[in-house]
Amino acid sequence: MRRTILGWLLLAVSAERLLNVYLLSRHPSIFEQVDWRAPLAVGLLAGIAGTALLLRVRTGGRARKPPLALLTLALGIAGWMPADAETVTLAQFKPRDPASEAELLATFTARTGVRVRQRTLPNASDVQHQQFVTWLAARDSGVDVYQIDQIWTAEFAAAGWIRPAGAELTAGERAAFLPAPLASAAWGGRLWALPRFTESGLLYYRRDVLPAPPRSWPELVRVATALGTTGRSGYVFQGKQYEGLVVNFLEILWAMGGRLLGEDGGVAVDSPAGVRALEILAALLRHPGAASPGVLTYAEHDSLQEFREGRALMHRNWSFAWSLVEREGSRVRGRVGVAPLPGPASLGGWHLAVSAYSRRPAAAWALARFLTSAEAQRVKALVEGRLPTVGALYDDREVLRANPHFAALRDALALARPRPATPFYARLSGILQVQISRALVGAVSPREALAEATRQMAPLAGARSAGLPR
Amino acid sequence: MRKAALWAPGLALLAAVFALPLAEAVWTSLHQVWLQRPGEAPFVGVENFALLLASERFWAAVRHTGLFAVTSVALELTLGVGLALVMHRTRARGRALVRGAALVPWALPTVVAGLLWAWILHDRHGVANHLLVSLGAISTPLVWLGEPALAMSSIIGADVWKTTPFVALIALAGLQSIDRGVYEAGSLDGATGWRAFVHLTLPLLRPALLVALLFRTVDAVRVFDLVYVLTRGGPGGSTETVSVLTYMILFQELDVGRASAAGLLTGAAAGAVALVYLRVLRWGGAS
Repeated sequence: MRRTILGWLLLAVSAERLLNVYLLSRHPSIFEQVDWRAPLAVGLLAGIAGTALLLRVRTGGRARKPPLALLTLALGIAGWMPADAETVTLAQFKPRDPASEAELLATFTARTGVRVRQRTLPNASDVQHQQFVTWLAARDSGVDVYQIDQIWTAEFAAAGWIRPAGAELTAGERAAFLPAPLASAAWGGRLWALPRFTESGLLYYRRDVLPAPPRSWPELVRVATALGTTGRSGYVFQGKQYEGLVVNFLEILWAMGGRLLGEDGGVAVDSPAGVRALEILAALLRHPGAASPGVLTYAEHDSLQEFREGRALMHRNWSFAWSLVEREGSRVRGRVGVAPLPGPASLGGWHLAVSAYSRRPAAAWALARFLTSAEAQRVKALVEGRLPTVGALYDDREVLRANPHFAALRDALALARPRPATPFYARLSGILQVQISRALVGAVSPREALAEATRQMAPLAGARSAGLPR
Repeated sequence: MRKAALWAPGLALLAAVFALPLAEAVWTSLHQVWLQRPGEAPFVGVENFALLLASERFWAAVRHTGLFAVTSVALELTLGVGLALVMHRTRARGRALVRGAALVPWALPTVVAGLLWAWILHDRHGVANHLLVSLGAISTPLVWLGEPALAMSSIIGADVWKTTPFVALIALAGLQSIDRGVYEAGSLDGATGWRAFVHLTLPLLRPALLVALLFRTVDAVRVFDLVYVLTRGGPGGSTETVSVLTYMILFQELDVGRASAAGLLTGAAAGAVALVYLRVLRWGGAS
């Protein structure tokens, strides 16, 4: 009786596994990237074992051995199954050009013998954060290399979720990286990840309307107020209640000489500079032509759309927006100037980090080093227009021919500032998002918003990773 | 013994999918469990609950959730019954088509419905502004999701659009179970039209309506996806519901203990609502 049940169970497992492999085989693109041999072998073995058990039962349960031929076959299959080639898994958002990414990974496999499996995530940064945190908190060893937003570096490092990268780099490799992106991969005096792409906030403006970009934030407000109309607003930025709003605020805060966290680690945003910065954003929104009230619902994609349709004179966005402004379908193509923001820009970008739970750290680091090498970044810059983190590529003739704006961006990057490196950045930002947004919709004054934000952030600031500040 | 064999599998299933996770949530809510510190979970008693109940953001979220639940459920019930009456009365050939079409919003995944509404409500490209401006109802386009009161109304509107068909479906089933003889008898006593609706249809529809009310209120108290897709709780935190706050505590603050406490409080609120309705339902059935 028990044997019958076990037999059917094994057959069910076998059917499920084999069906799985069959379904996978119908999607060649996935099939190439997943490991289908293990389920196939398990399916065949379970099928044979199940059949053997059932046959034995059917023949009356005499102490007959399971058919020898079947056992031999099973062993044969187990032996045929090739030794699992070393495989590492890379989790990242969908590459802009999946073909060139696949080609890069194939190159890596050809050189090292290490196969790479990809786990592709949606583009939204918070969705990736949620997924990564879930995996890492569960100590999932299913992902070896994570592509992380640079603002997560401190959080992941403090949690012990990623491995220190310091020993993996030679002094020469280290020196090849631009200083700002490399600094954003460090926390607590150690390097935790390798910078793969970088980004910097930039001011896009209509050079057919404005003779020169504004040099200061008050000037930007004046220009936006004087020239903006409801049909074509002066300035468009990211004002939705999310991380992007904090970035927009920090850039003005820095220009006013303020900081989010002081030297001592305490919250320093409730200062005259902080109030001035928030008043600048509020002033833009008070005048319906200066910034259309729609910005309160805009993230990067929406504000870019507005600018591409010619509905704004000036626009704050990341460096990646440049190629999209100049692409076909943009109504402002050929009429756009790009300039540094009036003050320090925020640094963005993505790093490759190796999971603390990876079972193949050496292969994982090899992949991270390969993908952040000048060779691989050159491909990404040529095909996807990604800003490299390797300084030498900004002098590469072919890269510059494909991306003429890189020359100017290198200077902007040198001035870009990382957001505060603290394990609690996501929490600080979450509090600021709500309070800045409250000030912008007029629910509270800028002064009240910053006082309330400071009250909520105070227990977090200065707290190290020792305990959970409540 | 045989009886035990019959109910034991069901009990085991219930324990696996209901009791164990609940027990786990209760345990977590009494400890300081922080995703960034795996393996450390000191017992903190009711501190997680106390922190929540002392936080202004939590009570704001409770107010937003209450406002959303009361308004959306009231609207859905009214419109749902109206829709059911229309579907019930329609004898024309396209009846099946009308009923099918009415159910489309309900059949859509909520996140998809949310994305659709985000496009409809977009200040520049949205159909809503386009229609209202060309009809002359408003002079300038509105920023539906960028102003606190409007944003909450928009979310309620999207929810009403999405779940009215569900209420209508249950009400329609209730209507179809009413014996036509009741109306004939009623009409002899002079109960026709509005009077028949108030004195015959509504009382007989009551059990069905209570079921709809129960499902809708419990769902509304837990609302998450529409808000997350449309506003992420903004602007200025004005649409942050308890479930959205719970999500933020979990994935922004990584504080599983407090998130569990918030989840349990939401569950308790939904359970309390359900109990009240069930009492009313039983009482209504007995009378």
